[in-house]
Amino acid sequence: MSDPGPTLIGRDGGGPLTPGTALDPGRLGVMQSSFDFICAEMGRSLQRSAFSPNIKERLDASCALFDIRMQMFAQAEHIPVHLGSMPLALEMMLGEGGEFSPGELREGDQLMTNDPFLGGSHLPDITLVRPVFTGGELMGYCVNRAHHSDVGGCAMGSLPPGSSTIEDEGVLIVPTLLARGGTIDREALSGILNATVTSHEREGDLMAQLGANELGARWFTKYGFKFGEAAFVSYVGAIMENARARMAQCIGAVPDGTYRAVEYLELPVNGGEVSFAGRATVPPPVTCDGMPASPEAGRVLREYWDITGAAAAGDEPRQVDAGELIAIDVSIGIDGGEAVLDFTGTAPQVDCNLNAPLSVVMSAVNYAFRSLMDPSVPINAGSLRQVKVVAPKGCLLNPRRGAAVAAGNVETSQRVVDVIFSALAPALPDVVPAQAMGTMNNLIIGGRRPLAGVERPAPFTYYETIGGGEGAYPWRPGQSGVQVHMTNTRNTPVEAVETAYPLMVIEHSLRPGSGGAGRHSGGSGIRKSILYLGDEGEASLVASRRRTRPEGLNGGNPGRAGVDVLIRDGTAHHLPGQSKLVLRRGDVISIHTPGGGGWGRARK
Amino acid sequence: MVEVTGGEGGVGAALSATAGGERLKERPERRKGRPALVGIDSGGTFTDTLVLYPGGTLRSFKVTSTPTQPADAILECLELAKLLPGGAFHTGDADGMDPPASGERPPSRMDVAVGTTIATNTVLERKGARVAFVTTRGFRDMLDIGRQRRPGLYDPTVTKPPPLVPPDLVFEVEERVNARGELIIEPGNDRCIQLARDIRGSGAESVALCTLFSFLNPANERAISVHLSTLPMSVSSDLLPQMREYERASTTVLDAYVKPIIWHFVGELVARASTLPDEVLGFEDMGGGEGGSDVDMSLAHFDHGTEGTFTSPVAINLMRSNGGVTPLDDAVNRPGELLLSGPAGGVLGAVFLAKLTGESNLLCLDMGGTSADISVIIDGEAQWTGSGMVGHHPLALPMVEVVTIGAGGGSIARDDQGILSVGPESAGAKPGPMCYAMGGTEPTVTDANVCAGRIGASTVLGERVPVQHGKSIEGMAALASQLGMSADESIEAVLDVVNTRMAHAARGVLSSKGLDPADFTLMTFGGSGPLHACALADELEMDKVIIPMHPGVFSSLGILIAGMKYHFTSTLLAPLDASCCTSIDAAVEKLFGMYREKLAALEVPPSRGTIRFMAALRYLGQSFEINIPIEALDGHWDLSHRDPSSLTGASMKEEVIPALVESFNAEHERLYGHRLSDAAVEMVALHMRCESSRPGAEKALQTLGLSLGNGPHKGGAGWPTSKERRKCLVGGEWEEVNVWSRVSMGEGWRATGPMVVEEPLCTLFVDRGWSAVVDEHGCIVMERLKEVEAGGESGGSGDDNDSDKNIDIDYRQALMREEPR
Repeated sequence: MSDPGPTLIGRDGGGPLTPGTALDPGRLGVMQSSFDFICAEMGRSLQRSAFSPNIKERLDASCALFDIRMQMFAQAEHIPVHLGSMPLALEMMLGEGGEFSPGELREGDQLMTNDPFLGGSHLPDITLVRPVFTGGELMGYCVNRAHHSDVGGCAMGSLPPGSSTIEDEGVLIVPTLLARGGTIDREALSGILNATVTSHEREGDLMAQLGANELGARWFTKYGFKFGEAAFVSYVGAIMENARARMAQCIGAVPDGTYRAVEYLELPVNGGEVSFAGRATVPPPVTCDGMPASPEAGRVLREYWDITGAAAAGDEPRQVDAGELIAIDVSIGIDGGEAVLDFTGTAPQVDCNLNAPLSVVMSAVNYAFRSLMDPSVPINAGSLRQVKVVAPKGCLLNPRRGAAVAAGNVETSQRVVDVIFSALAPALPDVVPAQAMGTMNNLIIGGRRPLAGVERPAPFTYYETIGGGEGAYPWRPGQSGVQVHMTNTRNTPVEAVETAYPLMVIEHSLRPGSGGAGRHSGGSGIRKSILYLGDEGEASLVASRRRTRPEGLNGGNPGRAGVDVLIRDGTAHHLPGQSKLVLRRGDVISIHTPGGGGWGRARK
Repeated sequence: MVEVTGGEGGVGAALSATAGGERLKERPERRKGRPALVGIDSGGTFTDTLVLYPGGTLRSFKVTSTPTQPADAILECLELAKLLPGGAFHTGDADGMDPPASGERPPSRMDVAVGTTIATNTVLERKGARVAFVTTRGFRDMLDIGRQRRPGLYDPTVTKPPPLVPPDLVFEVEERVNARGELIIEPGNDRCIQLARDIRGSGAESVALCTLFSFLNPANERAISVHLSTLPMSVSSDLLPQMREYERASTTVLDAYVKPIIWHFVGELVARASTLPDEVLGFEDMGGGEGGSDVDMSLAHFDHGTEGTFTSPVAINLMRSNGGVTPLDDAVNRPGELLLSGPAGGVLGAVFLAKLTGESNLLCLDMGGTSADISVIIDGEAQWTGSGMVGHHPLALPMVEVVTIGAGGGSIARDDQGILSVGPESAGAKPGPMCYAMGGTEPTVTDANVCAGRIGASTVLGERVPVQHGKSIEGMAALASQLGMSADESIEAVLDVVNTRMAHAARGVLSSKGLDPADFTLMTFGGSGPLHACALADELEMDKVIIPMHPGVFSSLGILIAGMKYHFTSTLLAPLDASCCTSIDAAVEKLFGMYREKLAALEVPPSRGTIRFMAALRYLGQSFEINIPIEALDGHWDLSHRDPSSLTGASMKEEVIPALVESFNAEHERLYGHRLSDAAVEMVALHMRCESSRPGAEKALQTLGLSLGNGPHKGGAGWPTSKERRKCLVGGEWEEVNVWSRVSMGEGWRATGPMVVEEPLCTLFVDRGWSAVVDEHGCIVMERLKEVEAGGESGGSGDDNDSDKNIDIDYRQALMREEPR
């Protein structure tokens, strides 16, 4: 692809939204409800038939409907990182200069991609597109995007700390026909499956994605043309125009002007590799299936209680590395109901995984506007049209092909929300909250589960994102121990973790005093401590807000930064926010997530 | 032994004669007259009652609920129920009241079942007890963190509710059980003594105890609990021995939170019932020969110190979330089981009618003022689930599965900048729809129905206000002008939008089970449901609709007929292969032990029952289970054959296992579109479901079907002429239609739409193209007329078939089974 310089997305494509004739508001209500139903139904089907917990339980997926102009007119996103992130993918795949043209698509085709440089977010998010026909005529598309917990790459979970190129992060799927005329292209499928360790699960998840689009297409033809095919086009246009007008009205309430802010993101050092001398001196004996045996495991627990009970060991932030801080810079121009977010001052792309592809940036921007303006405004091509984004090619927020992007989705996206909130705070003093913890605290522990008589027992991978403190709002305190902004995934029950893995969760509590004080205080972070009981394994941590703090607003104090500790031999070693380390039996890894910022000066 | 705290003379004498161990043996001789069965549905606004007298007369009435003293309204209903049918009425409104059958006499006994929302309201209003929460060290914030989700994904005005336990009432104990159920650290005796002291000093009114892995090994919880026995206590390993600590803890806390409130309520119910003088109750000696009343009016021993033990009057039972009733003395020990019982009554009523009418697959829509409850009856059985929420707090006890959406008569219609939206916001009961003239300023679904002529001016709604027709017209006209539509168009539009929303929700409920509405019959009830029945059936392409008798008090019918249901669960977490037969046998024996214990604790145990087993299965590594019946373990028991204390289960045979695995694979494929034939199957838990009729109620229930159909015109004394003709909006045109009074309709009555059928608390609209017949059970059965079907609208379906023709690949199995049109 040519390099067009600064990329402007959200441009006015596809002609006017407003239909020529007045439309029946009742039928519009019926159509809107039907489109919402179709998207929800696709999501339900995906959730039910997917195989991996990530889709089934955390519903890390989204579904949308597009018209033939590739305008998204309905979507059900289940987590904000997917909010409005799909239009770009469709446009880059099927628009001008795209890999395919709409004319060559047939009934029963499904296109697939995860290319972060063609509208994808990061490699684990695979997008499937199915054209919808009626009477042989193309009428639109059903699209879904789901997060696969393994797409290959150099670390388990396909979220390697310190990855420096996209190759480190897994298999990149350029736009491909996964199904042609209703038949799966086995070759295309095995290309992906072969790249992963968990091919069985991947196949199940991809089948679920295909099925969800099929179902969507079925309902699309059933309900979409209830009032006729010509009317469908007008109704879809009117629904998008309605969202556009509502978004314009919301943005119109912000005083015209330019608002600027800069936030900083922490870069990892040395690819996050850390190592410590020493070993767990007396590893607690384990039973043949990795469960701690009594009473030795009890001794480790008591030791932990002694350490943590004494002085909340490790809770104090400490400078552990001196990685660079890089700028995310935004100027938000508000003009008559339209917003242009110009990220031109942002740092160039980096050699690590924190680069955020445009679709991730779009999601963060949409999230910020939706939550500040009016959460009930539907996100579709109409509302997206009122918010435009400028990001120079080659910068952190619009990286060139080849850059590593794994953490852009989970970490950088949070900072993009922060910077937008900071910029708009003076304009919307009664709405904007103090900063939330600003990270997803991704923790991955992998290894082998000891089994008596088995030389090389099966590997396991445990992945968790840990909640923390929400920023305080002008009218209420921040919530404690929750996922903030761009994610809302659930935790895994402790009893489920210990049943499935050679791990013992020995603490899962709130981190007292970590929320910033203020008229309304920030929410508290979480302290999660896990005892490792497997054979030699490894831990990956991808987190931020370890060297910077979630700021307070309007005189509120900042939240406490996150702290990560490895306890080995009864000694606490501090870890950098992005770390990759070898674990030994008896090690305790303890993650203290950041608190949220406070709002307003504390009353005396 | 029974302690009499109230009542005098005859009642007291009768009590001492029936008390204690003799009761059981003497029962068959002593209870000669059949009891009147009473079903009471005590909601927030009204308390509805349905009484089935021994002679077969059926009577229903409504009184205003008394939320501050919930027992008052229930006692009022009991008094009314004792009065002879056709006699003087109290404040109750007669709803389809029948004259007494010939020879009907006042009942000698009453068997009462009550569904109450008192526990639910306690949680929603946060007016429960001060609960002390005791858990494993390191997990003090378990209730606060929950599953770490924020409820408002984009909306910061929505936050998670604060935990029901304040931070100063959370207590940690140094103890640990591992994932294999081994004790890693036992709680020290000294610490427990200190804990008991701390809790006593904290002002806690009840205790919830939940430690990690107690579902595998309850030893530590028990060791702690023995020190805390001075307060009402809920222990997670007793209440819900299942994996997932947060859901288990939340359930345990909910149980403890409502326990003192339910104890108080039940104590008052029992004490007050006992003081009802004989003459008010109107008891007569029906037993022939025995002195005094044979009412099981024993009362009211209530010991706050330990487990609540009651000997209750008139056999009062409470409805639980699982769709079964249990006697008061059992209910008070696990009040958490009452929390989601609200919608269960309607579903049970539907199950009963499913059996009567032979319609075994029903899609039920209970549409009231604020919301619509959607439930499904499959093969004549209600569906159940183990994951519910009460005010954002998880409750993982078994409950009848109901999906609620914000669509009801009070749903507000609005212009969203050119798009009409209806609901979920509701005008509720106050101010209510504009036609209530109680201050409502926005038009609602009910107003649209009034404007369409479907709700008549003489109808009495909600707070018993006559419909103010003009207000509805005013509101709809304003909406129409905002939308730029004609008044008629806007009426139809409001109904279309709300019907579409309900239809999509219903379709979603079915499709999540891999089912198609075309295979179901629609049943609608609740105050607003029958008005929307035909439109919903059209939208869902269903051809048959049933409107039950007494649709406005349908829940009390379900409560009246409810049996006793007990669910027990044992966690296994074992691979499902030949080797697990032994552990299944052990689990079966454990579950039977629990059931025997339950039966032994009941003052009057049921005399027969059925027992069914379900295995909760999943592929190893999955996180959700599918319940598969193990029919080989199922059975019936009967008091005439065996003593309940000797009940034991069958043992698991190895050859059953492959069939079980295959059933699971097949069900997984049906639900999710694929199977993993080579993957290991894990048995997560074994569920035992035990069901019995209420003792003494079986015979009475056999006549209920007959009673339901016994309208005054039974036998065809000539059908009534319509009571009026009224202009209704039908398919966009105004048309004069017949309006019938349902009270006067008997079996065999038949007419075709469009028409309106009115009864005091409910209106039915039969659309053009539908026929309506009254069947022998008093139900109105509507069917789509054939001619209309043939002339059906809308094109495009031919294209569907063509374009789909060549697609035949495996992922299509994930699709709904939908009949080609």
